[in-house]
Amino acid sequence: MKNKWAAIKAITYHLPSQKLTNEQLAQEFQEWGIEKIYDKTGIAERRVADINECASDLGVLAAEKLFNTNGCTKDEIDFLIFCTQTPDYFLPTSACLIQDRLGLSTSCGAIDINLGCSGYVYGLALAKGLIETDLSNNILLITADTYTKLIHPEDKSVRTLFGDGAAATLISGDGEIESIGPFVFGTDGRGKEKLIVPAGGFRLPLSSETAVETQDASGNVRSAQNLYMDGPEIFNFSLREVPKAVNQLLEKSKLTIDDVDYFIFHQANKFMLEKLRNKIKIPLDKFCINIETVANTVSTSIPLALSLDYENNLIKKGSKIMLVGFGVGFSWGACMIQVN
Amino acid sequence: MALDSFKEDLSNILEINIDDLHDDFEFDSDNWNSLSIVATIVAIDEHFAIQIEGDKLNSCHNVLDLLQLISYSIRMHDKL
Repeated sequence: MKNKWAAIKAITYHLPSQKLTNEQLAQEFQEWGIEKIYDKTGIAERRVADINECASDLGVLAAEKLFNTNGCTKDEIDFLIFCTQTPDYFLPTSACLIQDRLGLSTSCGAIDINLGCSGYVYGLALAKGLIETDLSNNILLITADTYTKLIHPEDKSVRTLFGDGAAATLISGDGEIESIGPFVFGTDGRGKEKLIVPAGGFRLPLSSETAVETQDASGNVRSAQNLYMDGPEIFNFSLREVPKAVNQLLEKSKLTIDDVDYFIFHQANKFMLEKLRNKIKIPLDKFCINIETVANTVSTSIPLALSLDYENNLIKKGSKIMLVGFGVGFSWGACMIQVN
Repeated sequence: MALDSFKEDLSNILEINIDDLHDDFEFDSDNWNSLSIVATIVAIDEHFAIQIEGDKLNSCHNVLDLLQLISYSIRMHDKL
């Protein structure tokens, strides 16, 4: 029997219209100039979801573009994977809401996965598994987050970095060759407190105590209900694990850096990406930095960068591309894809 | 060599001339904050191939504290 191969058929994205610029941030945080924010992050502006706009709303708009432009009909989707850390509700599953909103078939499977910056790689792995074991034929993988809703307005440490957005990827089982994989994965839950919203789940429910705001040594204000990021430890984690994951994947793929046409890492910030590129010794022209106008969009950053670079002709058909996602958890994953 | 290169990077991080980077150069909230600590983590990784926790770096009061912490961390790393 002929092997069934999963293949990425299309990627579309949607960004909310509201922008937060460095000029606006510099007015609020007087100690940081416009140039300083750009120099440290490589980000000029971020997109911010409206107060009533959820990640699922952004995801639905990204998916509608996919159906409008890529010839796939909604009836053909037999599985929906929604990757988010900012769902509509604790329950029901946001993927169920999206199935209804998009008008997908009721015979379609639908699940949420709760991962951040590594989520796209894990979503691709699940999609490949479902297709190549013949459990599914056409999978809609949506990544979407509204991290800006988790951020205290007076916390410049994260407000400068994160933006909202969504991407939709169609993965189908009609690939001619194996074009997704191999994969490597990694998890180190000891890093759980380094990037966290401490309150609001069942471990620490919302209360008047969790709403109390405190100011850290750098003047950033937040409560236990807001996003907290330990920047130095995120750097230590990334410098430690990302080069290892890249080397493990090269070994597993029997490839060298020279054999890989393009590298798309999670678009955390420009400073981190440049340091990782330097440490791994990836040539500049093979390395994606696409963060200036979109910021760090969590699990959407990789498909968004892939889509933007494809639109800008930086990726050619047949290119061997390495994707590397890493962040909250700590969780990381890397895979090879071939764009056909 | 690695130490000289690191000191050059450190003077850039602290935004001072390399000639002013003495052991008793004091850190304060302006020159020793989360951004400079992140940059120092990267420089330590690059020049000494070790990693030091941000909290330990944050507790350094001057250049001598930092160099001693790096020296201690290298010895501990070599023992592993």
